[in-house]
Order: sequence, then structure tokens, then C-alpha cells
Amino acid sequence: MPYVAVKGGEQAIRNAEALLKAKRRGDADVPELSLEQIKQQMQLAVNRVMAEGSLYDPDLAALAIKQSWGDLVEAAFLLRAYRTTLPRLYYSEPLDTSEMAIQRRISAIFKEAPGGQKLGPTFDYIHRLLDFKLAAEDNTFPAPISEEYDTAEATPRVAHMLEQEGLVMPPSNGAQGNGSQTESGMVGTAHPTGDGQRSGVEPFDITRQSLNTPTNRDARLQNLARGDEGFLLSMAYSTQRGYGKNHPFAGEIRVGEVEVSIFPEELGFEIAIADITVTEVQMVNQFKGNKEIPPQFTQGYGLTFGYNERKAMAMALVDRALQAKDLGESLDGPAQDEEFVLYHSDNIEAQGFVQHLKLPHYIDFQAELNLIRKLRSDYEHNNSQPEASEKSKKERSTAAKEATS
Amino acid sequence: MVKAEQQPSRAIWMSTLAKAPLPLLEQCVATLEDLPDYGFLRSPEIGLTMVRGRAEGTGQPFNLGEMTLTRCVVQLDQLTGFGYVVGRSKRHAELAALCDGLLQHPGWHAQVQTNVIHPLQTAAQDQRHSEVAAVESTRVNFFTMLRGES
Amino acid sequence: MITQLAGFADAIHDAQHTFRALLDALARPGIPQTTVSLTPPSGLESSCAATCLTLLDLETSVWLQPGLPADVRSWLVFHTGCRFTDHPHAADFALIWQLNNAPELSEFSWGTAEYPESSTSLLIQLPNLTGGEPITLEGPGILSEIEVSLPMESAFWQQWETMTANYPLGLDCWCFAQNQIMGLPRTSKLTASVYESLGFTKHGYSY
Repeated sequence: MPYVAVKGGEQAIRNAEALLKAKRRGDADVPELSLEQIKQQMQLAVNRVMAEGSLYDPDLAALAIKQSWGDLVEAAFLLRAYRTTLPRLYYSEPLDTSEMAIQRRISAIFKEAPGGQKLGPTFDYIHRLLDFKLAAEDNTFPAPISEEYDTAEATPRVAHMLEQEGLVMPPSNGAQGNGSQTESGMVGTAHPTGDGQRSGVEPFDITRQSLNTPTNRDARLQNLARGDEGFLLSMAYSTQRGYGKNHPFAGEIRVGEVEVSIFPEELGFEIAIADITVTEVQMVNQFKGNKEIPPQFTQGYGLTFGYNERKAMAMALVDRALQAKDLGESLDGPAQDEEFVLYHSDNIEAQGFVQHLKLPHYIDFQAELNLIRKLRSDYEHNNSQPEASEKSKKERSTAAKEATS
Repeated sequence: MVKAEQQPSRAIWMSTLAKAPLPLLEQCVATLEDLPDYGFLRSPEIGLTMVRGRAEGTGQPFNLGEMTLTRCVVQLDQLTGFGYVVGRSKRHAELAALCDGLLQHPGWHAQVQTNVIHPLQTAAQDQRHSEVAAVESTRVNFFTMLRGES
Repeated sequence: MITQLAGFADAIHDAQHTFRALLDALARPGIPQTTVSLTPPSGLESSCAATCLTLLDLETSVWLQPGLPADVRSWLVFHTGCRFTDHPHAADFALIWQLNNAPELSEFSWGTAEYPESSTSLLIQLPNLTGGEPITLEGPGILSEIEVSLPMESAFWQQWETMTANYPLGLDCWCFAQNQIMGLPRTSKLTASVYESLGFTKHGYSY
């Protein structure tokens, strides 16, 4: 249906924006929020916006939260929009999360995991009681410290212990990956890192290539890493309640800083340019095996920017559920349906399509109104004639078809 | 192509400069007197790096998300200094590039190491120590409870 | 090797200006456009260098016709971050400086039916934009027809004729000399009188 332009409302729109700005600022006697305050005291909101906005930059995320009046989906949208204005200059070397500077590390499967269990800053084990002391504004909370510590302590992966026993499927190196890249028929979409000779297969990039099912794990993980936390949480929950059950354990959860390294071609060697905070989750799931593969554990993987534990856990569960097809499992739940999950996980796309319904649809609706009026009058006409013939029934079904087409 | 390990000193100082907090870097650079004139071979420029992860941490690479990055190249006599820093500070990229250039200069190397690189490394180490000490305080020590009769 | 030559003096505005010239060149085939001037590395025409700075980046793969000075490559790497390929068919852009020794047009990517725009774009450096046998072109952006005298041999035009019959597949070209650009999009066809006078066999559909 063609769109018909509607004009008018310019002044209303200008004033609505001005009003938003005024309301967002609130009472002028209350001090304005600084970005530094948001960055430090609303850190988990900043982290969520960076993860879903798919851009690691705490300063910009804080600005986006301030600008969006605390609406985190709107803030993520602002970051996504901003990132499109910048050129992509490099691809990082894959993060080495084994070398993470640990802020938190727990395993729900091995009590004595080498490297220890470190709770870090967490809401776990805290009563969910409102702390009214926080309502006062002169709080200081000194960080506890341990006199004895080892900055060089290694934290080997928990899954590695199972790998050594051959009881968990080893990570694939991706050599079989990227079927979707070649299937997409795009030419010149491979972006090698370094000198272009070093790596043959490049990861799929959903920001550059259109996602077509069936997908591979690289495309899925990228999609889930920026997916909506609420959506992924519900999908993950559905697998636990039986819609594609796969019996998960939290093999390992780690939060901390990892080095980002790039290999600038013009420089000719690799340099580490930043430490960024990430959350990594490795779920271990039971797998009954099939004709080719003996019974063993399989893994679901979650990785997000920032401290984003709930999201990373949900991502790992959904990642595992989406492997059902590859593992020859029956597809019983929505979380195992990649088209359903991957095409609905992005809150920027979802909010846009849902919220566009607010825009004027006057002409669309006028057409709909005319159609319903006609159907109604046909209906009333036919019902007023009890001996309605086969012919008028036929007419009604034709009209109904028009209505749905 | 030279990997980082084969270029230890330069890759390390560039990394130190990139990770430094800007106020501290400014403060350290301010102690260098009579800085030589320099121009830009590449003016400070803001862009993105696509950060990659690996499935299971060690497996198939995938694109995690992007990160802001600012880069700059200065020309100093016959030397070129490169700066790559996370975030959007053009000043930070310029100072990093300038220091990289100076560190390649025999007449400046020692002074920049002493006045800039060492203090930055010490500060980073102190920061790391206090973080590790705090995290360590949350380590769980399990006790096995004996139940029933021994 | 790190280049010692700077790129654009004013990165944003110079690139915008050049991009406009490139657009106009393809929109008005046969009419020369002028780019900003800069100091290119030896081996690149000024207009071609400006075009490289404008169009190439990390996400483009480039085929360089062999024989260009090494500094061209390091200059491109430094200022654009582009990738290089040894296979003309895999290139988003192909930089040609000796047209007579270049691969035939069919060796570059003409795109796919689904993505015709994924074809290779040719950047052809010429000594001048005039001085060759005059030929006339017609097609979108040309009011009836236009005569150009690019210094190209008839073999090129024969290949061009074959290529344009495969529209929408095909190649778009920019020709460079000093700070001038002339566009030759895949929609510009030789007029009937030209290919007959050149003794070509007509391909594809009739005009």
C-alpha cells in the first residue's frame, strides 16, 4: 500500500521535544546528574547499554542513559546509531578470556576448581530487603581487602578438566564454519585480520551480511551477544521449564578484564590497547549421545561486554538450545528454533517495529474501515434473508479473502 | 610480520601509553621539557574496532561487538610515532603517539622511560594490586562438615 | 615500510569533495570531473590517489596491477587500511596503470544476479583523458550520445561491448589523469555506429 504524506504538527513536535528535555531534567533545584555519576553508580545499566548497543564505551553509554531519561533500550538505540557514524578501523585478535584479570569467578560444578571460587561484587547471598540507609546521601563503603593475595594466580578453565577426561565436547575451531557466509552469495565480504594471509575463514558478521538460516555458531553468538536481555532470559527460562530441556549446570562464570589486542597493518606488530570488562559463562549440559557421538556433556557459551551475568547465563542456555539441530536432538521448544530466536532477539529492531504503530496510519485505517463497513453490510444483508443462497455465501468468502490479502 | 613477543619493548610501551589514564599521562608528559616540534602524518582520528571472542573461550572466533578507538601518527624528525587508544580522546592518542616517537629517539628514550613509562606502569601495578586484594577477600573457603558418628 | 607522505590535508571535506566528483563522473559519463589535489606517492595520479583515500577502507579488497612502486602499497595500507588480493575476480577495486597489459574485463567480478553491485570497480590510470580514437557512448546520464576520445585500444571497447550486453552484471570504471576523472559506468553502451565502424560483432540484444 502506498504511503500518503501527512503534513502538520511541526510546532507540536518541536514543543514535545522541548517538553521532554525539561521533564528529563526535572526540578532545577535538584543537582543535575553527571556522566561520571552514571558511569560509576549506575554501572550495571551502563554495561547493559554497552552490550545491547554493541559498543564498548562507558562514557557514551552513560551519556545515552542520561539522554534517554533512563530508558535503557532507547539508550542502546542511541549507541547503535552513533556507531554507524564511525569507520571500522580494525578487527581485534580474539579475546583470550583464559588470561582474564578476575573480578569474580565461580563454578557450580567443582567446589575445588583450580584458581578458587571468588564471589566478587554480587547480589547473590544478600537478602532482598530494601536498605533504607542508602536513602541517605553520605554513604561511604570501604572495599574489604585481603592481606595475602597472588597477582599471578592462574585460573584454568573448569571445562578444561572435563575436556581432559574426554567427557565434554571440545570447542570447535570453526574450520567448518561460515557456511552461511558463502551461501549468502556476497562477494568480497571476507575481512581478514592482519596481512590477510594469516586466517582463512573469517567470522560471520551480522552487521555486514544478512543473516539467513540455517546459521552457524559464529553468527548466532554475535546475535545473542547483542540480543535483548529480557528476551534471552525468557527463552533460557523456557528451556529450563521443559521447552527443549537440556539439563544445564553453570560450569563456570567469570567476570573481569581482558586485554584487547589489534594488529595494525601499518605498524606491523600486535599491540594491546585496552583492558575491557567482560562476563563469560560456560554452561555444561547433559547430552545422551547419538549414533556417532557417545554420551557426554555439551557446552553453551555466553560472553558479554561489562558485568552482565544474568544476560551471559541466558545467552549460554540459548546458545546450547540452538545447537539442537547440529546435535540431532528433536526440536521441541521455541528456544531451539533459530529463526524464531535470532530474528526476534534484537530489541532495537523489535522496538522500532512495535513502536512504529504509533505513527499515523490514517489512510491504511480508512481503507480497513471501508472494508469492514462493506463486510458488515453484506453480513447484515445476508442475515436478514434467512434463505441465504449458496451464491451469497460464496460472495462472503470472496470478500473475506480480499480482507486478508 | 612481527608478533608482539618479538617486539617486546615497543609493543609494551605502546600498550602502557594506550592504557594510561589521561590525567596521569598529561602530568607525566608535562615533566618533559623542550619537546621537539612535530607534525601529524595522521591527525587524531576516531573509529571502531570490532572486538572478537571465541566460542568456549578457545574455539571458533565470533564478532562480539565494537569498541571506540582513537589513533594518531606523529612525524618527529625522521621518526614516526604511533598512538592507538581506547575511547574517543584525540589528546590521549596524540600524547601516546608523541611518546612513542620520543621513545624511538636515542636522545629522548631514557628520559621518557623514566618520566612517563615507569610512573604509568607503577600506577597500573598499584591499581591491579588493590583490585586483586579486594577480590581475594571474597574467596570462598569450603569446610567439610562431618555428619553422623565417626 | 611506513609511508612518509600524508593523505588529504582536510580529511573530511576533501573526501566529501572527491566523493561528489566520483558520483558526478558516473552520473554524467564522458564528462571530466576535477578532484582536490594532493601529493600522491610516485606511481599514482593525483585524482586516483584522492579516489583511493575516499573509497578504500578496511572492508575493501584491492587488486593492484603488478609493477607499481612499493610505496603505493604502503601508502594505501597506512591511509586506508585496505586489504589486497592477488585475484582480480576477488577484488572490490582494481587499480590499473597499464591498461594494455591488464587482465581482460571478464577476469574481474561482474557481480551476481542477486548482488550486481558487488562487482569490481576499475580504477584506470591513463596518461590523458583524450587523444585516443573517438567513440560515441549512449545510456543513462547521457543526453542522446557523447563522444569521448579516451586513449584506449579497440580491444578494450570490444570487451566493453561484450560486457554491457550482460547488464545488470558488469563493471563500473573511473579513468584518471592528473586531477581529472571520467566515469564509465556499465550502463554506457557504444552506439551502433561505433561498434560497426570498429568491425565488432554485436552481442546480446539489439539497440
